[in-house]
Amino acid sequence: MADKDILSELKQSILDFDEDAALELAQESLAQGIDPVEAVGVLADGLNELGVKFERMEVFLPEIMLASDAFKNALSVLEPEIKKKNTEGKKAIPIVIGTVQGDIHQVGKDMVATFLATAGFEVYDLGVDVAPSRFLEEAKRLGAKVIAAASLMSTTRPVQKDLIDFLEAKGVRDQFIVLVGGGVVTQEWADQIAADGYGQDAIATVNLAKRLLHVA
Amino acid sequence: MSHGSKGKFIEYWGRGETGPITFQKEFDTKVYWPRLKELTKKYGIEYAEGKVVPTDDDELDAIWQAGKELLLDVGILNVSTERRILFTEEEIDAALENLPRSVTLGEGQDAITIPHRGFEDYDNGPTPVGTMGRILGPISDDLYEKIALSYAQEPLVDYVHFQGVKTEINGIPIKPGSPFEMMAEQQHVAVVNDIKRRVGRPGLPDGGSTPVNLQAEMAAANPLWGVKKGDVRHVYIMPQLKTDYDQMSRAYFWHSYGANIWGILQAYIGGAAGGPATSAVNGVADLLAYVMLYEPTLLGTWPTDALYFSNSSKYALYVANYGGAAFSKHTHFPALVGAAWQMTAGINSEEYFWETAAGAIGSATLGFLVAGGTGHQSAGLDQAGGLGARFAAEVGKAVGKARLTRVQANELVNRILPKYQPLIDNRTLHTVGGDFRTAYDLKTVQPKPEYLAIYNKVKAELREMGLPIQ
Repeated sequence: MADKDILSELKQSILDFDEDAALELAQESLAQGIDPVEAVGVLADGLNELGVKFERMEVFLPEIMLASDAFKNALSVLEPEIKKKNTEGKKAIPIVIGTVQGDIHQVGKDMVATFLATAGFEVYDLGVDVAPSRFLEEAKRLGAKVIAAASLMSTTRPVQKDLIDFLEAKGVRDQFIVLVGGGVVTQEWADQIAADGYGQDAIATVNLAKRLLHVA
Repeated sequence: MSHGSKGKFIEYWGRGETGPITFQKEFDTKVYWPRLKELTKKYGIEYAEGKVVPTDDDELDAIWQAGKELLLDVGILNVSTERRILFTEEEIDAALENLPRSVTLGEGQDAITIPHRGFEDYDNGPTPVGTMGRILGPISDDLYEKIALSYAQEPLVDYVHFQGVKTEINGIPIKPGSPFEMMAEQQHVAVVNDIKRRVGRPGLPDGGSTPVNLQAEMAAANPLWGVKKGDVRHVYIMPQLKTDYDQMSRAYFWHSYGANIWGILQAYIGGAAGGPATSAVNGVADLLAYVMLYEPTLLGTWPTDALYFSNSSKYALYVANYGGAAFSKHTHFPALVGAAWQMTAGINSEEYFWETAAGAIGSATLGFLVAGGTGHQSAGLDQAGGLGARFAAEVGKAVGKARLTRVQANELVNRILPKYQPLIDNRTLHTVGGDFRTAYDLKTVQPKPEYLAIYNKVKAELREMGLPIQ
């Protein structure tokens, strides 16, 4: 298969949410000597395109999750080759996201995580009921620069402040960008607890993350 | 009185220990979603602009069939055990056959009986069949009683979700699982009971499920001073088609206590339930799942746009009305509580009343209870007021007076949608409208003249549109 065809098929595997095809084509692209950075680039284009369709309600959350799995599958063979070549390429910025301790709402958080992933961030979703200490531990372990904490209830919103207090207490506050969001969160609250940013919804959060991280 | 699934809970819940093992992500992406898509396509269910109140019964039959098959095929995932609970069609049919045909909420002189009601049925009881007032979201300590009073004092409101969230006890934040949450719930129930007595409605049914944790709800479960047997507490089928031991424990506790349970169709449109059409199908499956797993006293429709939280958007109204109507057409379950459970705009705005009208017109025409009260996506501080619930009731009465057909209701709601849908489209509707302090006189707990002016302005416009609202 010609290089252009493989890259086109690779992008299509994302658009088709096909994790098996994504893996096979990633392997084939390496066998054909295609630059793995270029291959990752077309995969990211596919995710980006799905992000736009997601916003227009042409594809939906389960499909984006499948597409993300396809992306990760392909990345599992491409990333080692990128490292071997010592080629940095364009590295995705890691973000940890979760719903704070005591709160089990996840849909809004899932929407934000999905949009961030389609925008090219490397998203580690910690799930729900996440203690401040876990946000910090996982962010450190994963090398994440951004911690996104969601709260959907007024009774769990204080945990977002706890998170920032913990980071301060550990002397690492300036190592992370903390974004807060969720139904009961406001810009005033974010300012009050000295968060770095507040996203009213998934789209606003992605734009905010890009701005704060100086990403196009 | 016969029952649908009560008495079978041990068996059905026990299937969560033996059913097919399915991890959550696998369920969402490989089990639930593909089957939902297939069935929606198989039955030719499609959303189109302008569809808000269903007028085609064949379409409702298709949504019903697809939803029922979805539940039969995929079951309900018990997230606590990562196993699916499956039912046979015979079990579902038997449960539906044996469900009560009416339910009673509240106590004594304030009890209300909610029957099943058909579409455009204006001859078998008052329209609307009932009115639910909802308080949800954070409420300041100094306004807690006043906001509750603003609902309880409304004669047209039959049932109130006193769900205002207290955020502090003695300056200490109330966090889930803490003793402060238990104290807050006891305080909340005490205040609500006092307010109900104050207006002469001690038995007014209270559906105020406020704490996160069941232990806090249980702390106020005392028939002498706390939650009454006529009150109503929630249990959820979690999005989408999921349960866990916490939800089952809620159902078990409140049933064994002898109180009532409410549940809601919870499709997140644009999210895991897909677009409007798949969400409507999911809605039927959700409501059937409630019947099989919890047999709630009352059910409601609560879909929301996933990207920008709105119960009253064109998509949410479609899912609420189509999904709810499909269920209502095929069962004799007591009337659902229809859209919209919370408005997107702040309460002190014209848009808030337009949203309320759009929801109430569809609900009353379809034989559902109407709902109103909370604004600002239920997230803003002190964004609740009884006038919204009163307004919902008045719209419902006007629907009954006009004997609106579904076609007429659909046309009317489509004329109303441009009043606020554009601000949903650009995700700014929540920025519109002030809170309770701006709307009500805090001494008399009556709407301020300028607030009444907004309410009356919208009513005047509705009259011009042909709705005979007083």
